[in-house]
Amino acid sequence: MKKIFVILTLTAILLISSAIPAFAADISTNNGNAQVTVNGTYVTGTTAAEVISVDVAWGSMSFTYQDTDEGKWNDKTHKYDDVVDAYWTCAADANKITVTNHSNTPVEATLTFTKAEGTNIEGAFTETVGTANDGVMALATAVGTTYENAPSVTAYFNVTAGKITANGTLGTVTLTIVNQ
Amino acid sequence: MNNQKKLTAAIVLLSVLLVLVLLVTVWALFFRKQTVLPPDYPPRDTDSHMKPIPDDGGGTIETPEGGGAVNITYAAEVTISLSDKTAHLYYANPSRSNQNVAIAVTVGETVILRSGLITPGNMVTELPLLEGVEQKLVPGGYEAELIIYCYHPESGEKAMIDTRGALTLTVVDSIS
Repeated sequence: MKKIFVILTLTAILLISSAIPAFAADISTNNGNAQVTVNGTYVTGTTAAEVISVDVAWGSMSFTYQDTDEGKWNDKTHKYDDVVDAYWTCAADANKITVTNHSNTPVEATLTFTKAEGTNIEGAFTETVGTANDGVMALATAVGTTYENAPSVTAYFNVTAGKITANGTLGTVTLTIVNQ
Repeated sequence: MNNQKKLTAAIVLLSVLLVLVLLVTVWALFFRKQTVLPPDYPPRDTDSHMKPIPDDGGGTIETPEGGGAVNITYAAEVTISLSDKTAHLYYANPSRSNQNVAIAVTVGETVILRSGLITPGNMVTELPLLEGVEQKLVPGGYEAELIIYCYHPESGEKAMIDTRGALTLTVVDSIS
C-alpha cells in the first residue's frame, strides 16, 4: 500500500513537472545553445479623453473716444492753436486678454473683432508672443507643466479706426479655440 | 319746445360721452399695453440640467480690474441620441470663473441646442435639442461648433468676448 502511494505521488510530480513548460518560455537548442522565447501579453489600455480646458481673462474692454479739439482761433495767425486730433484711449490693462491652456492637447487661440451694427469701428490685436500680430496664438499642451506654469499668452486689443458720437457697444471679440 | 329739444340733445350728447368714457376706461384697464421699459440685459434662467462639478478645485483666475474671467472646459466629442432628442456632452464652468455662461452648438448655420445659464461650479452633461432638430440630423458624424457666451453674474450684461470651439458630433438613433 505504501509503495502504491509512493508510485502515485511520483507520477503526480512527473505530470505536474511536464505541464510546467506549457506556462513558461519555450526552450530549444540550436547548435548546442539554449534559446529561450520570451512571451509578452498585451492588455489594451485606456486613452484619456481629449478635454479642452482654457482660462480666458479680459479687462473691462471699455474704451473712450476723445473727439477732435479744435483749439482756439488765433486772429493773428489765422490758425487754430492747441488743436488735438481725435483719439481712442483706455485704462491700463482694460484691453488685455489672457488665454491659459490647461488642456491635455496643444491649442491655437485666434482672436477676431466684429464691429457692432451701425458703427465703423476697426480694431487690431497686439500679441505678446508670436511673430505677427495676426490674432493667432499657439499654446503648448499643459501636459508636463504645473497648474501655475500652464502655457499662457496675452494680447491687447486696440481700436485702430472709426469714431462714435454717443456711448454704445463697439463690437464683439471672438476667441476661437482649435485643438491641434 | 326749443328748450325741450336742447335738453334732449344734451342728454344724448352726455350719454354718448358717458359711453365713450366707459369704453376708454375698459380699454385702459384691460387692453392697454403696459409701458414697461424692457431691460437691456434681461435675466436668464439657470439651466435645469446644470449640476455641481465633483471635486471642483476652486481657486481664482487673475482678472484685470473691471474685467471678467472664465474657465472653459469641454469635451470635444458630443453624442446625440435622436430617439430621446438629447445631446450627451460635457461642459463645465468651474468655480474659479467669475462669469455665468450659456452655450450653444451649431452645425453649419443651424443652431441645434442652447443652454440656460450655467453658473460657476456647475456643469452640464446632457442638453435637449431644439425643437425639430432631430428631423434635420441623421446617424453619422458631423463637424460642429460650440459657442460660449459670458454674462456678468449680477448685472446680466453680456461680456464683449465670445468663445468658440470645434466639436465632433456623433449622431446615433439611440444610446443603449
